[in-house]
Amino acid sequence: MRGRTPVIILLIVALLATGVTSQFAFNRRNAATHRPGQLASSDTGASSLAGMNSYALALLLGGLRGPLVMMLWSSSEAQKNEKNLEDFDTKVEWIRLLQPEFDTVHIFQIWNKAYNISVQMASLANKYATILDALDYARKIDRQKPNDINIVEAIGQIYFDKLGNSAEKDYYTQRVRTETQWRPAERTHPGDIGWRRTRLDPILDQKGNLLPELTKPRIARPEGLPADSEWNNGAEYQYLEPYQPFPYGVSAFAIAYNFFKQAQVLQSVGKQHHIQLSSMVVDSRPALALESWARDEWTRAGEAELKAFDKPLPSEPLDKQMATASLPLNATTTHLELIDAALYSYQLIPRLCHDSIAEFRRHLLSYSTNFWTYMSHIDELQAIADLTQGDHDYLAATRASGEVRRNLIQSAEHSYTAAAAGFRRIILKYYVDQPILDRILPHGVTKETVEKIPADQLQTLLNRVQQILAARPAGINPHTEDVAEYHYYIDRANLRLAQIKSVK
Amino acid sequence: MPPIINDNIGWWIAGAIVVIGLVGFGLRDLLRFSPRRIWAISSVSFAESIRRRVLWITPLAIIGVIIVSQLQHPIDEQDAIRQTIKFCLFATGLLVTIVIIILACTNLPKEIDTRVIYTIVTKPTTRLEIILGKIIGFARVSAAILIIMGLFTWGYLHLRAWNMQRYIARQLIDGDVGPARKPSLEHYQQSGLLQARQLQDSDSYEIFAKLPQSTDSVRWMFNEQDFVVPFRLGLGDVAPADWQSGQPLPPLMILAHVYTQEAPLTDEQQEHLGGDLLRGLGTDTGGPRLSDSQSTMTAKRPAPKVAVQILDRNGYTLLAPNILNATSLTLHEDQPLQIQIPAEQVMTLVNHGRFFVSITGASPGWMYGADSNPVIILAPTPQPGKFNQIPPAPDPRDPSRHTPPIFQGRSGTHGQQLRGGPAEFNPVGIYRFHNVPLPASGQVPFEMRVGIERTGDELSTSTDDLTHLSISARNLKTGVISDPITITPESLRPTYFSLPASALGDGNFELILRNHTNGHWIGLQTNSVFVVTSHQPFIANLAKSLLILWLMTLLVIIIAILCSTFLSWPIAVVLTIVLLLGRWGVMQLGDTLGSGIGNQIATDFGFSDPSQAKVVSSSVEALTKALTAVSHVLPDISKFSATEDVERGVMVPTARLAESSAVAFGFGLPMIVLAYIFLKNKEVAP
Repeated sequence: MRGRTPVIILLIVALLATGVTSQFAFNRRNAATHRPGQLASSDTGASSLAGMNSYALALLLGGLRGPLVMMLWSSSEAQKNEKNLEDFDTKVEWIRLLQPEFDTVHIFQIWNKAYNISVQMASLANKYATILDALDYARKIDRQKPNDINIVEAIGQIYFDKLGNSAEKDYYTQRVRTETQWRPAERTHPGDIGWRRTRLDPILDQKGNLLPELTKPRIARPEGLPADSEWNNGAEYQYLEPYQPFPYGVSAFAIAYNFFKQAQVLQSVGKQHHIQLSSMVVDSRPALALESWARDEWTRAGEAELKAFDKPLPSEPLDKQMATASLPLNATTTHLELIDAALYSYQLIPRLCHDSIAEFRRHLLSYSTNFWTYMSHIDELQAIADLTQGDHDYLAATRASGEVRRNLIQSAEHSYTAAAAGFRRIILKYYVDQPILDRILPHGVTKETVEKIPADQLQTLLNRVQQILAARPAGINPHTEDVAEYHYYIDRANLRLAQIKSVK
Repeated sequence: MPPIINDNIGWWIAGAIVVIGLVGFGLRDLLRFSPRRIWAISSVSFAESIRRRVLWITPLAIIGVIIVSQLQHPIDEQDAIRQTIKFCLFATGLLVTIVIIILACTNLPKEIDTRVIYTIVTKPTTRLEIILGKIIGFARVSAAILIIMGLFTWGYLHLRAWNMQRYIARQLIDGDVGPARKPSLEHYQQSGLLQARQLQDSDSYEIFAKLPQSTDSVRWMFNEQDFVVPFRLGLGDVAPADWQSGQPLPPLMILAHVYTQEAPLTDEQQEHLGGDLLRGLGTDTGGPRLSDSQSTMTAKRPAPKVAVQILDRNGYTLLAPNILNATSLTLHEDQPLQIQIPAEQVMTLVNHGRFFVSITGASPGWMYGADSNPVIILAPTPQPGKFNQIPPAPDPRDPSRHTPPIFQGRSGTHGQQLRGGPAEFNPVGIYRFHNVPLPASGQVPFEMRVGIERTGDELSTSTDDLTHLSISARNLKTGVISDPITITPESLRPTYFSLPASALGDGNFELILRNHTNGHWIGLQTNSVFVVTSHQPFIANLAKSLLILWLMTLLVIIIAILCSTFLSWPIAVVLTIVLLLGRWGVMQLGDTLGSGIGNQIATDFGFSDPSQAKVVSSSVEALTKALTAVSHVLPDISKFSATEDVERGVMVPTARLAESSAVAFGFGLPMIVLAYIFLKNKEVAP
């Protein structure tokens, strides 16, 4: 026994030395990749503990880790291709534990679960649960490696691309809205045996505000950082805080924006680089997510308005715009809660549009590759902001009286006029070919400066475009389908303006 | 050689080794055989192993299992138990095998090296008793490890199952489960998570356009479905009397009789076929009739057409429709289809044994029917205009009659597809069960595992769109159909349902399946549905599984001791592993070792000299044949499959125990005799 004592002591020392050197290497890597440090030791607890499994497993397996991982990879991928998902998640979990430091592994597995595995489910509920499983996987890595641009971006992508824009988006976005709202604490928890996530955790309190622990800053702002510089403060939902409360739940696009913004700041301020995406893509995502959030709210507002006035829900999205366009200012309804919901969304949309425009402008200062594309987004967002501001004021006016009503009507008239002009300018600027523009634009006005044209002359110019196109031998406007959407919006604004005129 | 020798060559060799070895070399030792001395030697081996603290490894394995079980990510509670069973039994098997290989391989060489063996061989013991004593001693060690691990497995699984049952109950009380998950949880709550069930699958599975009645002479299918008829051609059926090997065989003729009936049309089909003119005309016109070329429908409805091909026994294409010139054959009233099988393909069919003639409905808007004998094959005779009629292969269930046509659905990713939607437009699936032992009353549980495919355009919905499958039972004796139940299966996950025993009669019944969800296709196979016929306590199933593991370790011990009689212990360990895994390894290589591997390797090496290529090619072929032949002499460890049934909650069949015993003793006994002969001829003491 006496002979073994030094060996045991040596083993313990080696174990401790491994832990120390591992931590040293981790810190050095963080410093090299400009990953910020944490505020207080209590805040790092989760991260350290989350990494314990991987560390212990790697230590136990020693040199066998490599062969085991190889076997798990080939086995899990073969199972996926054979559509045999027995043990698949367990194998992926083991791969995560055995390869905790490889972001490419995690990016692949997050995508793998959210896309390849979820589509193998038949019911939408199980597809959704599989996507949540992918999100859980990403969150585990995020706890292990906080502020890693690759993982933060991957979380944003799941909310944006999969939950917000896939074929099943109607179901997914509705569930995200509902599940982010407050609900009583559940009796089942992630630690329970056999537990599997089937819905998102709520992130709002009963008043619709983000839960305090989700907005609590966790990372100290570096002293040398310029005052106007953006900074991730470590709060999980830092970038949603300005938009609270969320009385109707949080949009999937809003959550996507929150994570995209974190990734963009990690790139621009933290100087991290995404392992797979170009810096331009990472930088442009917050603007696009805000734009999608605005459109999501717009859809909800339109549907709430339709339901409030007992109008049937048209199957075509654009028809929804027209179904309530002729709503008179003295229209009444008993569904006041739906009017409230519509007013909430209509109020939020202009703000989201303006924030998205600001994000696009910030992006274009650094990356001009997609200048014209994003300029069209900016112009469209401005017009949408005007239209929805008009919609808000118009709808609010149906419930208001006296001076307030008069002011709202006046404001709505102003907004609708601006919106119609905005959409007309978009058509002229982006959907009329240059030879035709050369013929119709006033002297000194170019495609880039159509803003100079007075609003009351825009429709005349568009009519001339129509005449020219009609006189062409082919008689076909290649942009007909593209501009149809804008004509709907112009028509809605005009119909509302006609209603306003009728009560004046 | 006569078949009785050729078919059982392994057993004959094993018997010869045992008889020659014992009678020729060890008759005197056999006559001095003493079980008491064997037991004494085995006790020494056992005690020595215990002294070497081999049992201390079991707590490490137990800790390993507990850790790994915490890192699992199961689909649900049943899956968590299944994975835990897998970990426990895998760890048990691995632990006991490694321990036993090391103990058994090192024992004899070390005893010889340290001269401990003097203390045994100088006593009145025979070498046969030494070998048997050591085998039994190590078998006792392995049994001890298996008992410890078995008790741990049983206790740990019950603890987890108890915890999970509480968790399931909590979820059900809270109502915190979705509609798709709730039936499974209720089933787990009622049946428990640790089960050992006896399952019986169906005898056949077919898909029809409409539910066949016992009085129907013709059964129907939609387009995209097919019916297949099995045949088996002998050379005597197709070769003329004066035919000699190497000569071409004459072409054959397939004669097929297909009925048609207008199928009801969905709005979508009507639109596709030409608008509202067809609305209301696509109704059932009564009994079966041959294709109606005079129908007023022919203007809009495409003519009924079929494609004909020949499939092998696995359902893969053997002769494609283009080879038979049968890609799109129009059906005419009262005229059977005539399809020629080209002369050069006839020998392929003869060599292939059983094959299927497949007839696929090609035109939409029609149902295609077949009576009990829709296809025959004609072979020419020496007399002009005279043919031999070759009927379908006999029905395996009733060899006195020909196999009737088998109706199949369109083949999809998960099996034959049962299209969803209103019953009048969509097919019905029939699972047929015969002689199922059933309780006289109560509910009979079933388990189902299906794959579901769905179209993308059905996804644009804000509510979950579950797949609704209705199931009813038809008593084959009375023809009474039970009230349907509706379940909502998930793709590739087990679904549980039960039917009243009274609806299933005497155990001969059909399950009638209809998919009611538009845009969903349920993929079904013959073994997609099981009926649970009986239960066994889980501990009995676990004991059977451990017994199989013990039989495996017995074989491992025998091989290890044999190797250690003539090799040093490290080489003995390697050889033991090679002998154990040799056959399995060759099986894994599978088709790679088939004919043509020599040419392939010669090509891959890029030999320019044909003679060199030939040498390499023939050498590789010869080595491959030798490898395959040797592998057949090695033990088949796949027969010791101990975990699959237990983890799936299925009763380990007694036949599995018999198979494992056969391998353990069939291979083990001659190895014991060989080990005895080697040790007898080895100088272990002065």
